[in-house]
Amino acid sequence: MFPILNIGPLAIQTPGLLIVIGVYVSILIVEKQPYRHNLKASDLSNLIFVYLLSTIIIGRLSYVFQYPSIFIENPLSLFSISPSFFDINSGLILSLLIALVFIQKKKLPILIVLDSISLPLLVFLVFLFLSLFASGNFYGKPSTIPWAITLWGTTRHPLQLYYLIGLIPLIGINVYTSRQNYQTGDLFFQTIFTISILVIFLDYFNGNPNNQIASFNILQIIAWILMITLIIVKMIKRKSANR
Amino acid sequence: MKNPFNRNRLLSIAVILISTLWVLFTTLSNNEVSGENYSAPQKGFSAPDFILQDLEGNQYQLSSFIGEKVIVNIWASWCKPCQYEMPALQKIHEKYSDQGLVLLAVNNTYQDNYSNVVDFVSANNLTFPILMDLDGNVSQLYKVQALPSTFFIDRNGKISEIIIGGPMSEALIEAKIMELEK
Repeated sequence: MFPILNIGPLAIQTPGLLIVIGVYVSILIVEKQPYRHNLKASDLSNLIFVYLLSTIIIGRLSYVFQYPSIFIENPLSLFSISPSFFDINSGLILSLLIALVFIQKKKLPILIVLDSISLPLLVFLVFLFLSLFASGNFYGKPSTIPWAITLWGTTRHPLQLYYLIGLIPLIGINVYTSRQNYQTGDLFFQTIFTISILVIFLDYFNGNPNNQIASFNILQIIAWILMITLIIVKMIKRKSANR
Repeated sequence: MKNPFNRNRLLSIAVILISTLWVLFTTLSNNEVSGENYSAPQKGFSAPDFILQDLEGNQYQLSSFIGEKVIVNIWASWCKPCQYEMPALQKIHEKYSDQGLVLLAVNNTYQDNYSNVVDFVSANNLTFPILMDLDGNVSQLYKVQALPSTFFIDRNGKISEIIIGGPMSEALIEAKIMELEK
């Protein structure tokens, strides 16, 4: 684990750095996508920009609404650069609505947009799990397997590495499919489907007890519901196409 | 007549079946994890216990504060961000010490100068306990890689938040204290 990279007097937080690199690389890949999907590069870049900006604003506002008294006493803290004043989950989820509004306003073909962000999404996940490996978060269950890593008081499954390895075939499948004739939207939904399967099988090794409600792994259940939904939608689509 | 068991449908049914069985199997064996209770310098884990003396020679044991909210701030007198956040920590101590908040400032004495620490504490009128980590055991236990490092510990002795680096503002410290109540 390398949570801090000490360069002279600077203590750089490696997980944060990896996320920033991940966002940058994903944007670079996004910019290559319009040529493959007949979209304007500027529309896609603007969409990503709007999503990231609204994540920051909504993430901060959500935190402010949770602890208003602090910001009433110290109004300048509203503009603090500290990442500790963010509710990142609310930011990421609610910003999807803003992105949807942007797509509708710009009259962008939503399925093509989704297809074009599927590969950048997978690449970002690679950096996300590298970041989680650096910080030691998203740790595995205690284990004595030969490849277990020593982390947080015991030897554990290297869960972050399992996900990293699992993402490699997913990227391969995405690139392969994108070179075939596929129906619009299929590339994105196939990516979500494969990520769901990855989560269903790998999150069993998740060691975080806060991830569970009455022995049910929340991530696993969400992924399972998503996977079943995608299979049913696909079956219905296939049935109506056959008519 | 169309074959109702075509390849795609069979594959879909197989995926649904295998994944459902896997989820059920793993749910049954998830009970093992919920009992996990290791101490580690990580969010969600029990804070590693330590015993240290303050500048007056009084002994403090972290585990004796279970039932109270605790902030462990690891610092050194030569570290600029540590210096800048000390007034904010003092204000927090004054505001919350009678509300069940314990603030323990662990000085990295093995990398510091004892007389500089004493001078700094008196110059800044710090009234919370300044604990002396003479041999670096606490730094090692908490895997400190940058100063200051601050650990917010809930009433059950579990780490709720870790702030690496500084200086922390008074508002940030207050927000993290409020999060401890969740």
